[in-house]
Amino acid sequence: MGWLSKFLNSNIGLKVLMALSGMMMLGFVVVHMTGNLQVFLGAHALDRYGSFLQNIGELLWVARLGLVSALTIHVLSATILTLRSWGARPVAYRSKYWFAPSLLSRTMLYGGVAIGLFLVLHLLHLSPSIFGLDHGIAAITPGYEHCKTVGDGLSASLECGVYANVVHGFSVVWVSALYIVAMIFLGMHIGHGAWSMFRTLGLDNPRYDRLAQGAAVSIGALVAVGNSLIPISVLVGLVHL
Amino acid sequence: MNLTLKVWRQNGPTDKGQFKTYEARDISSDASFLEMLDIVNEGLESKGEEPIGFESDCREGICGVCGMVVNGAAHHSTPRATLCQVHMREFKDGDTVTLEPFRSKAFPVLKDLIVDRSAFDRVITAGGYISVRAGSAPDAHVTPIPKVLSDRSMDAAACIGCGACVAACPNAAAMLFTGAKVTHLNLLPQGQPERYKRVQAMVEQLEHEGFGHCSNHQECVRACPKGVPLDVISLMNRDFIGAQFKLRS
Ligand code: HEM
Ligand code: FES
Repeated sequence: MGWLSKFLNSNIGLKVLMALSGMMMLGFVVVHMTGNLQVFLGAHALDRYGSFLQNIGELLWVARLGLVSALTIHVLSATILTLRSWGARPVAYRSKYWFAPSLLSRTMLYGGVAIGLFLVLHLLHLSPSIFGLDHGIAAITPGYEHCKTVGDGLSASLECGVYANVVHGFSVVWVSALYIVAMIFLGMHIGHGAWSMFRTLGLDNPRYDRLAQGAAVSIGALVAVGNSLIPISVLVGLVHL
Repeated sequence: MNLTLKVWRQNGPTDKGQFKTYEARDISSDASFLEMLDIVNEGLESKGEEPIGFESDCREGICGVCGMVVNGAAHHSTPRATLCQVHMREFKDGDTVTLEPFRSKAFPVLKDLIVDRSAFDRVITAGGYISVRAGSAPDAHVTPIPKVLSDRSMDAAACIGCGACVAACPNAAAMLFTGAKVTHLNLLPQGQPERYKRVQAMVEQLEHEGFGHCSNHQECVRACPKGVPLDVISLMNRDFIGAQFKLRS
């Protein structure tokens, strides 16, 4: 197993880990967005989708475990690689000319950190039940007055309906604004990442490179716009109780 | 034309180093960038000062010895040119020009604008060779090679090992250089016997030297005076991942 740890500790190995975990999370983001867009089909559709997710039982935990592992691996390898790359150039240039000034590739680190911070907010905001933190959340997040607490201790959960949660949660302007900013970051992260991951894995083909780059940017834009439509629609009153 | 030069001066590997300002007077716009530095150095020497240290050899863009960061760009921002191929007509009279050495932990500064690029030699030594039958030279065209492959291989083989990719990369990675050396041999029939051993050994040496990783920023590709394409990096990644399986079966 020495070869495996040597591989995973190499820069290329760590990038392979980032690409694979990123690919997993990208899959989740797309599925998650598609599911959530059911908000436009009305309360019934979204709540049914919500209880479907709650009722798949163990599978939900498998998915959560997979995502948490992917996120952990992604963040850990990103941290190691970033620290190594800072170490690889101990003396900075006085002036830097950018030959290929790609906004997308250069904002990967900031975007990643922003998405990480957003994830904390997002989890506290829309899935309070998984932490059994209902009282705390209801107290600090406006919009949960409609929820009832069921059970107590760690098994306590909030009973409110996903649709109602979404409408209440996004009626708060700063919360919606934060979501939209985060989605722009996420879209940019995907815009570079979804193209870069194929190159990391050596799965690219020079003939389709332009196409692949275009596709990555399009998926990123789709994720940013698609997800942002939800808070925007709540704010303008298109989606209401 | 007259220019103001802000030049990195460093007496030796352990010296801290600092920028010093020099005036370049009455330079012909037909002079090459390195000739301009020669003229400045003559002036310095006639005043009994230490000339600015920089490297050059062929001065026609083939040896890969010259190179420094001019106004933030490796080999200056001129596309597809080594620094020795840059001419003063690309600058304007009265310009201030900043001259820095290639910056990377793996390329320690020896003096002023001269860096030690022997890390590249060690990467090549690790795997940049092929097994050949010793004896009389083989007939030409004995080994047929598909045109597409030979073209891609020759694009990679255009690398002159100047180090501009490392200098331009925000992560100070040598992925374009190593990718070029790996790909150049790994695509050809002659390179097959050592294909996976080669990539494994060269990447290991690369890691050991302390270069950074690839973020696909593509700065290296634009800075490369020889137009080595980004694909050499993904081809190297592919073979390096493949090596983890092939070398163990
Ligand atoms: C603005 C668009 C988004 C909306 C409206 C939204 C909505 C939701 C909702 C309603 C839940 C709770 C589901 C439930 O209680 O069953 C949830 C959970 C979650 N969301 Fe989002 N989400 C959005 C964007 C994102 C993005 C971009 C990501 C990340 C990459 C993300 C990651 C998660 C995660 C990890 C969970 C927890 C899943 C679990 O409980 O296992 N969300 N989201
Ligand atoms: S001196 Fe040989 S390439 Fe510039």
